[in-house]
Amino acid sequence: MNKIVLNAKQMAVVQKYVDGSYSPFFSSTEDQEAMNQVLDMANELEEELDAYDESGDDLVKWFWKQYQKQEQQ
Amino acid sequence: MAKTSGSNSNSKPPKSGGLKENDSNYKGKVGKMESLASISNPAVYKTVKESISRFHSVLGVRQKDIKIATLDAGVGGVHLTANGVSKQVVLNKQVFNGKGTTTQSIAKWAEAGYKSGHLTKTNKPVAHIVTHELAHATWNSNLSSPNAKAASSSVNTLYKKWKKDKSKSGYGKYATSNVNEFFAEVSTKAVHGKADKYTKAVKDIIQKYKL
Repeated sequence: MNKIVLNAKQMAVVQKYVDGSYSPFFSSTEDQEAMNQVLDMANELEEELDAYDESGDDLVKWFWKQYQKQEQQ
Repeated sequence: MAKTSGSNSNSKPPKSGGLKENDSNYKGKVGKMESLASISNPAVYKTVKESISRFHSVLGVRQKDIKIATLDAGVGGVHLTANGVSKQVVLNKQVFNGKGTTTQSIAKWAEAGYKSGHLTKTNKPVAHIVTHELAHATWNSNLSSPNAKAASSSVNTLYKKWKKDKSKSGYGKYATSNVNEFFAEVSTKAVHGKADKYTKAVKDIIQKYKL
């Protein structure tokens, strides 16, 4: 598994998402693009690890946990 | 509180909107409930009403209690849940009945999402916002009615299958984020977009579990 690298913008949108304040309709284009990038990375990782069961019903939260685990190591 | 969202090109976007992931547990302020008839722009009113009618006719479900009220921080709309049951859909007054709000000014929010590839593209951007909210009220993973809980397994299985499918088309990336957004966006595509096996599957789930 490659190291997950998130820039500040990507981390910020994930944090908004986790907090419940991210909006699919009313976020800025920059935020939407950052979230798209996060979702692409999350999809790739989920596929690479065949983690479709483990990721459960929330891909972003699963991906964020993977990132946090990695940063703690 | 954000100023009117979608009022004109110079207005600030609301801080947040659409249905939050945990929206069924919305604990923000809900202002005075008003009938949809309070929407002052006739074109906006007509579009909202038509969106609701089309949702009812295509998906065969009736979300009857739909109001307009001022919500926290520019949220586009919420569905309120009581004891695990969808109770009411509330559209944000700031978005749908703000000063200078037009169908075009509302549409531009969804259109920006189409352009960025974030949202599932439809040819009805205003209806997209309304339909997305109605779909969340129809089913989300926080609902605890027997039918909603029974449907959860089918929706989750479909979500997993859909994520693995590299040949699917027409979907915005946000639909991938979680099972609730997946359901709302596939439902929206079923109502206002190009039909496919996933839109058919969602319609079948809604029918099977009488959501």
